[in-house]
Amino acid sequence: MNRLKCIYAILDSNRNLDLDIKGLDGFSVNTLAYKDISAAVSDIEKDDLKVNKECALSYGRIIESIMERCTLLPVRFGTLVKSDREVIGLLEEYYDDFVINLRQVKGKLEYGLKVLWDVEKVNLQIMVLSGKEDLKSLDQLKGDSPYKGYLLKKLKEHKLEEALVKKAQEIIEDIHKPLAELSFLNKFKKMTTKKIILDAAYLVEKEKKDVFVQGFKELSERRQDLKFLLTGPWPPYNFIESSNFKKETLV
Amino acid sequence: MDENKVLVNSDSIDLFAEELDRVENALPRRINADPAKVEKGLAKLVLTLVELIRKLMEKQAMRRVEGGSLTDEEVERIGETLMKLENKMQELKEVFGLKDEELNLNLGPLGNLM
Repeated sequence: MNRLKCIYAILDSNRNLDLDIKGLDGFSVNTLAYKDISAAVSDIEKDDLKVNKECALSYGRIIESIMERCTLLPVRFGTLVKSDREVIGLLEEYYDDFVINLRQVKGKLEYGLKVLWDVEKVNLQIMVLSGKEDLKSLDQLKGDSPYKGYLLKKLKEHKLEEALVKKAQEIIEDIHKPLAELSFLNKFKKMTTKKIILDAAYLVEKEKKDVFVQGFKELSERRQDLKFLLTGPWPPYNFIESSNFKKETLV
Repeated sequence: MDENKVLVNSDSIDLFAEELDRVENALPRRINADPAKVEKGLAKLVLTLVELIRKLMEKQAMRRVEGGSLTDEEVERIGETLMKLENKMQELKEVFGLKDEELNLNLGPLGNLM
């Protein structure tokens, strides 16, 4: 028997939802219940789960289709178990964690935001400004010594970096703060690369989604110096928390 | 990504994709255990840690230089040490074919090491 069960999501309902959705292998997605929650699963041939872009995108689309019907926790791509019994076993084992997380994300949607800045341009602006500023320690680094010359160069680089980080912090505050206020929860990373100044996810209450998107549009129009990519709504990929899940790499 | 998932995009999506590829390529979550590449994987890990220490030393030195409390001789010595250290790192990176942006570690929820 090479047929396994592929788990797509944990749902906040134990009703047998008529999902009418095909799984990765073309088999129907059905639900398996435990207490008041359930798992959305489908059969899959063991060798049919390919770790590639197409498969991952299909997996994502299946979760999004289910998301239209109920609140869910998306399960990690490629989560396969042997039988219905094992699926129920997982629901039973992690029941408390699932319920806490389902409550947290109920009635909410995730939006993703990436912001790019023109780091070279900002660098130039800072260099022009810092050129006018005298370094206190400059006198000590004057002279013909190559080592002092090296230190002076390094000191200027450090000053530039400090100024750049300060500028980035101001921009992040300007963008992230108003969006954080319009959302229920948020997570963000600063300066993921030199160009990506902000990489954030916002969990937004469904009834506030238009206000959130409108608020963002106004923000992006005001900051023409930056480039924005706002995507969503997504399943709450970034807002599921449990130390137990990490151990088992389940969700 | 589905087109209908993009709500606001002020530039070509390729621009964002390029940057994200950079993150993916530079910060693998696992060390490459391919026998042919294991030496480079290990060098990458070791040099990342050395680079972290070097940068911390450099920062500390800058603070002391800026503070203006060092003697002329001390300034010379710090300059020489840092310069030699950076040159040596440059040599090692070249030996193992590593770029600056590759010398980092993804610490999961904590973000990147540097």
